[in-house]
Amino acid sequence: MRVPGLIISVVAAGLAGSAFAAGFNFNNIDLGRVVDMGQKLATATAEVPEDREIEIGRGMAAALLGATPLVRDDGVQRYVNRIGMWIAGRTERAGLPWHFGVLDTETVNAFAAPGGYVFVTRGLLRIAGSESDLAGVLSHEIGHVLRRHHLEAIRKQALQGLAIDLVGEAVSRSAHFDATPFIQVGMQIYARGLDRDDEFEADGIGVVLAARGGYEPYGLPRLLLTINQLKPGAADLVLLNATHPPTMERLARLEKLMAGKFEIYEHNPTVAERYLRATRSLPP
Amino acid sequence: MIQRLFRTAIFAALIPAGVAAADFGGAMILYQQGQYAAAQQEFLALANEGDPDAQFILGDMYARGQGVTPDQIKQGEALAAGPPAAATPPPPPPAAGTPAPPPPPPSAAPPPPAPAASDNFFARLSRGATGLLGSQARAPETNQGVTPSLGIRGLSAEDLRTAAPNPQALQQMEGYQCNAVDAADFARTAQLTAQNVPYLQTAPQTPVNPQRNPLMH
Repeated sequence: MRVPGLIISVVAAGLAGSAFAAGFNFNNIDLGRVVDMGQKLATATAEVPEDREIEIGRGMAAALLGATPLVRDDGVQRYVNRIGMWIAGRTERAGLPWHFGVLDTETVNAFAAPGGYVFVTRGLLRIAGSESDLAGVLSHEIGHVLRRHHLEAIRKQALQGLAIDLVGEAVSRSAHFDATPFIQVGMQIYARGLDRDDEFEADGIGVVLAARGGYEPYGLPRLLLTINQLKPGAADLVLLNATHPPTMERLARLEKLMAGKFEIYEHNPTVAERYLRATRSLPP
Repeated sequence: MIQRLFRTAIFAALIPAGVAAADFGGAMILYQQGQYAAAQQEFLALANEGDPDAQFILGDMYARGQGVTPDQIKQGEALAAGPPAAATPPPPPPAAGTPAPPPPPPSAAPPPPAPAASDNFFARLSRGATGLLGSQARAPETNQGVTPSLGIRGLSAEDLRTAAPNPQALQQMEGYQCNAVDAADFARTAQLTAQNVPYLQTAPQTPVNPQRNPLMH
């Protein structure tokens, strides 16, 4: 089991100065070791191959489903997969094995895992009002996958924890690869949230992809506004608010970003009727 | 990244409750802490300097009564209701003596509206609204835009950190996968037509005023 090794390394990041230096003999510097470390670091900053990205994402998806189950409604699950696939098909990573799932929780949130796993919660479907709204959120999450935000966050975390060997293993073509420690760090990142810039970038991608899908593209900001109007501090919003930039700031940025570019799509379909029909069976 | 997190955390910790911040990022923190009155003061100062983001947020705060005192709301309602006489309670019975004259009309002006650009953006958002934001909220308990507290504990950060994998559920989810042909059919039935839309330039953003948002590095 490799997990403890990584966790210890990650914890050790704070103490890195002393702990790391302890491995060197400063009176007689082991140049070979320094060079070796440099090579490993160079390898570790290369891109993680797609099959390993998918393996890590698959593990994170399984863990997420361990935290909260799928909504037991085949119709709703297939419905969300169709919308998601339609949008993901309009991107540079259309060939990923895209999977979409609705999580059975009142919590209002959405998640993405590397390699094409995307989740929305039942609580989010309840406050959305149209396919355009849902398409906006799915597009935001697809954006995280496209730009490998979680994967990069995991990698950065591991490198800072000096788990360079592990990262090197992930990017190399060697047969041995254990995704477990990456999955564990990935779950920490769900709990903690991505960098603010990643969220803003995904917002920008979100409105673009919804428009590419032919939807009225204001679904994402509309849903953000809806979330902003819910009772502040409501239990359903705690995780979302803790892991994302303030909704008003996201809205202010989207307003600027969209100005002059999206008005031509504003009369595209919101597909509200089909949405309401498809989600009618969900408990309130 | 850790350094950035540290700096963010330290910055947030250095803003004690109730202390006014002097910039947009600080005002945002006050807003997030629910200190609407303090946040409103900050946004107002920035809005008066012509900051469009502050004007945008201020407009929304006014619309929802955040940072507005109950007196101001009452005055606003009284103004909206029309002549002050209509808003005064019926006079007491004659036996009580001569009723006092109705109070003078409130003198406070209503809050300034958000700038035109924001109106347009908000107008677009509400135009397509069919969910909570629109008037056709589906669940009766969700009226007035307030989410009900069902007493069910939601998904927490701790749940995510300690989750044990569920491979069966994953397999089930993978069984719902849709192919591109199905997806295209599905889009066509809703008159959705794929569009060619380029990505936007979003990051990294260079702030116009480096003091403007201390949370960005």
